Amino acid sequence: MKLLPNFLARPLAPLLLAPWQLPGVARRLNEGAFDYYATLLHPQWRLRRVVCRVEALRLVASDALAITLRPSRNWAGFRPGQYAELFVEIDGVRHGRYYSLSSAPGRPGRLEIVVKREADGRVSNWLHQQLRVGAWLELGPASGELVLASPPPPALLLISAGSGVTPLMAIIRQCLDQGYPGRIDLLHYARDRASLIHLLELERLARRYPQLKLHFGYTGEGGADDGLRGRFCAEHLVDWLPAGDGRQILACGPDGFVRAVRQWWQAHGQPGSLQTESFTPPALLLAAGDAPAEATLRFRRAQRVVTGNTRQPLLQQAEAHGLKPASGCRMGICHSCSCRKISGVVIDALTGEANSAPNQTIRLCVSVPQGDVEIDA
Amino acid sequence: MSTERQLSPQQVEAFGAEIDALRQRTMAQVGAADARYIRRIRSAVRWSELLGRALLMLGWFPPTWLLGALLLALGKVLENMELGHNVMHGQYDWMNEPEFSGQHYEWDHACPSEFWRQSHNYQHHTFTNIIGKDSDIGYGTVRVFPQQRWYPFYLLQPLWATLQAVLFQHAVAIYDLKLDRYFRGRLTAADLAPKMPPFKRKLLRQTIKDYLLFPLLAGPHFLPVLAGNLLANLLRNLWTFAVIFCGHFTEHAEVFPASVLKNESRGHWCLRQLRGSSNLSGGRLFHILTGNLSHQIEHHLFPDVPACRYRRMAVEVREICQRYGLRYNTGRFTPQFFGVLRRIMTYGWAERRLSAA
Repeated sequence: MKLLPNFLARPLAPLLLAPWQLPGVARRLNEGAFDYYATLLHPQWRLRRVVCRVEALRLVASDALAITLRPSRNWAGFRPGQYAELFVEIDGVRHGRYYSLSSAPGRPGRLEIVVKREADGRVSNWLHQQLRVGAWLELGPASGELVLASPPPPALLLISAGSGVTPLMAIIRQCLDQGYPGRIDLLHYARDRASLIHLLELERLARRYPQLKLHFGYTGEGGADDGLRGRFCAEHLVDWLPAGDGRQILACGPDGFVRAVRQWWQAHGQPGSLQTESFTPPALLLAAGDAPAEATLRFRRAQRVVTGNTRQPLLQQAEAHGLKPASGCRMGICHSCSCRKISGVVIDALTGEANSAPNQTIRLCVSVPQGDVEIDA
Repeated sequence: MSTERQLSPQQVEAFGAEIDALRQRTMAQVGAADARYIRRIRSAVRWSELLGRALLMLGWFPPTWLLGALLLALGKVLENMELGHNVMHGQYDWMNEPEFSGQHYEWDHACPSEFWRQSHNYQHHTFTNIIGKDSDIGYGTVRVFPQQRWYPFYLLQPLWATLQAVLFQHAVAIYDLKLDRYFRGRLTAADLAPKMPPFKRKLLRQTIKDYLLFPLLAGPHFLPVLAGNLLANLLRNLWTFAVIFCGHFTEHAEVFPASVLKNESRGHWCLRQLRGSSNLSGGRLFHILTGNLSHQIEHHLFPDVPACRYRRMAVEVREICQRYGLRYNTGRFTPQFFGVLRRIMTYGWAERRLSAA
């Protein structure tokens, strides 16, 4: 239900909604109950949660959809380079996925995220096929460390692959908007020109701002003749990378790509500061050559005792046995699957760290049991 | 009627396996329909509360006052049973909705949710009907099984049960404090201390909300709103008391010694849940009003399956029990509740008094 039209909701919010959002008041309210009644008036009227209206949809590459969102007043802002969790409801289940914000924060009122369609991605396919202008999507708060240094560095080197260009796009747009004087080099890899996200806009910006230098690399067959060939390697930079320290290097892409960039950076005497961000789950560290052993998994709240293995994360094993614990990003970021490990040893598949003390909070999606465990889930 | 002793170990395990298979089949189907259902229940709760409270604010005019109190009672009953109790069991965690997250849901009840999760979700569901471990046997106020130790306190148990029924939400709130153990000297004030802040906070919040805030908001109609809220809470208390007591204290319900826990297999666990629980038969609306605790057997066998599924699962559970020759304890509300009352009247007396009679 939506009793208030959009044009009325916006000006009325500071009057009718804001008083409830004062800290002393909000703290004492039942958020679920309040949100229920408030959303009868308008979907964006929530105590704390941020609901955005989908303002525009356009393709910025053959398989990449740019979604323009107009957030509610609850949106706390972001720094260019950060990401936020987008929530969509599919078949009754609320799915959250992290996407970088590619718009410039200096232009308030509109956010842009770019969703690349994954082959068997449930959320990305739903967004490409079912999302319409005028729909309402929830957005989590912004976070992320891939941000511009303060004070701004004399030059920037931005390296990305695939959808890794999206946070860097925000940085480029913000810098050019605010009159950044230094040189910005963007080295970006895509399969081919058609799948290069933001290609048209980047070329337009490069024509208008000579300080922006674009270098594209194509990892697939159908690239342009003047692009670099193949995956990232040190040779791709030699021709054009100016000498000098002090530049800030930002790299974003799949995990393997980011590791290659880090290796190059370390091998070449660390020319400037490096920040990286990878958005695919790293390959789980499993001791090579160890045969997976059996382990008894006890799920206390679900009253189940199942035979598991020492190879897969607890979340997957629980789901294989018909349990449905709360989960989120499934890669160790959002902590939706956090629960208490009552006893037993698990290994954090992202860091390799063993956790053996009793009554520890662990994330089910990245914890691999190393023996019998009991979980409060 | 077979009992567990007459089932061979293989039969016990086969029984457990069939129950588990039923659970797997059902959980595989849980999805959009269940999400829609719980959202509708939530809407029903919110609208009953809103309309009930609004009507009460119109004053003493009997039609609106009575309707308002009844609507508010309905909202509270649904919130207590079908929404709160089931959500806190984690039945809807898979939706990933913060509002339906079992670990975070705070219900409209004097008892802090964290107490309930500990004493109900963990203790009661793990140690169901085990003498000495499941405090839900008698709730510390009544002796309903001969295996419970008798104290002179129980002689007045019809009175205690009545007080508990009338003040049920507060009885549940203090339940986790285990005051009976405190008064017997087995718990010290230091043991209780960490529980007091959340207890006081929730008690204050509920008291202010129902007995101060809404009455004051009504201005001149302070008293009708106060009285209406009192009546709504009373009705909720009586109804939930009756339904919950029918869960494990009916005529054919059984309790178990702690020794059964040792090496308890999955099949034996299922049998204990079956024999310790009893169902109530009725129509669809009745089941919703009881929060599907009318399907106590199914709830104990499948506590994390969305409760709206119990009615359909009951058909299969009943059939499985019949094949194994096991009693499926069910009946209409009145006879089942009378069985509970009979227990309350009987076991208040010490054993030697009974055998002398």
